[in-house]
Amino acid sequence: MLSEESSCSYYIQDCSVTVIEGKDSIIHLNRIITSDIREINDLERHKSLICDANGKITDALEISSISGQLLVQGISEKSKITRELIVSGIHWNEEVQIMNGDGALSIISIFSRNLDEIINVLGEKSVNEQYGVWNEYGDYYTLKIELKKDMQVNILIQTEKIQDFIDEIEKQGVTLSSMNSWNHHRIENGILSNEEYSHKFLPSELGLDGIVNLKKGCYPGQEIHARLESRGKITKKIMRYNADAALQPGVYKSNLGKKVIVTSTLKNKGFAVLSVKEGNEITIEDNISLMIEEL
Amino acid sequence: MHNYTIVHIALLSQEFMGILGGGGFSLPVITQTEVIDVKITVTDSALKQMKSTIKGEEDTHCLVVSAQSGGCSGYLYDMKIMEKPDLENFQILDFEGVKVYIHNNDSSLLNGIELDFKDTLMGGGFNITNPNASRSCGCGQSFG
Repeated sequence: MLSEESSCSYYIQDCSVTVIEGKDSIIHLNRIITSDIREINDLERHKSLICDANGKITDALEISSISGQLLVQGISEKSKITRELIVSGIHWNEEVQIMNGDGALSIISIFSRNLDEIINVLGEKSVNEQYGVWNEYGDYYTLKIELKKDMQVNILIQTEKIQDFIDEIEKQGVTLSSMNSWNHHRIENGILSNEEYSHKFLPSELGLDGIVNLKKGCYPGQEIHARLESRGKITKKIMRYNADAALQPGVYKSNLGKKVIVTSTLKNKGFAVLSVKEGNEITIEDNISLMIEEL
Repeated sequence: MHNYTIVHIALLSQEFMGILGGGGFSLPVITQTEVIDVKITVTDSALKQMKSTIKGEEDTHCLVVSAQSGGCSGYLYDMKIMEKPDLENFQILDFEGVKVYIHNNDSSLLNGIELDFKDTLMGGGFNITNPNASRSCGCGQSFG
């Protein structure tokens, strides 16, 4: 049980949920996304992207293999477009079924500085020993994630059972995270969200090169990504900033005359996409100073 | 040019199943519902090549033209000479005895395409021009 000083919080993820089933589901999805999931093991979670033909990100996915089905979490605002893309591209000779999990399946994130606090709430064997691997536990699945500063456990649960689950964890002192608190968690730990993805950045601009596989073959945007990689022409990159004044999301200009695109903000901190030529300290309009660091 | 239109519309069924199974839990299956009557054009050179390739097997084999997700631009063309598949969900176009099969799910992506054949050593082979495509990649196999 948690002590009263527990710093565990939970947040209900605002994401789209799609389930793909059938013997060709992995091959089918693999043709669309930037990473290679052909070797995905049961209960593993992979991060990936869907890009347009210009290489810009249109959706950010978390793909998990669970008991022969693929669970695909994406940005809620992009659910319709992404699902249309997935459904319309099924080859006539493939066995693939797409199911809509929006409203029926939910993801809750519980986060804390200390993993033991979360395990105390959920139960001793509630999480897999490995990070990034789902664990079936009672009525739900859990996924342990190690972040830069915090520990997080995601819970995959049927939405109709979510209230009972929340009642139970709240009894143990876990508190609902406000939007501000969740944003603080995101910014501290470098978790990107729709605020970043909605700008249609290239993967490299959001530091997501690691989930782009240029050796897997063609996928939408691959030509552009390959060209960028071979020419090494990355001009801007996402960074965390700490300013001496609160900023609003928007486009600012640095004293070098370069664009500073502020995407997420919480008081004086946030994420900004800016020129790689900028130094660790920059000044923007109104003489506001920003300290810059890697995510 | 050889134009032909045929209709074979199948109703797509709605089924239910899902992850975290048990207890009657299920999820709605999403199916593509837009099915249109496909009309394609085959150039003389493409028809000549199709006839030559399928010669003697016209009764048992056909050309299946389809699309699937992937490629640099979003979708990839696929063309196969194969034994005639089950008729369900296919539209059949007849070009002087050569049957071209197009699946209903691909009908909106492939309606209006022109099938051409270039008999050249460099860049030769079948080529598809698609009025529905807003872009295509350099190799011509992908469109979007």
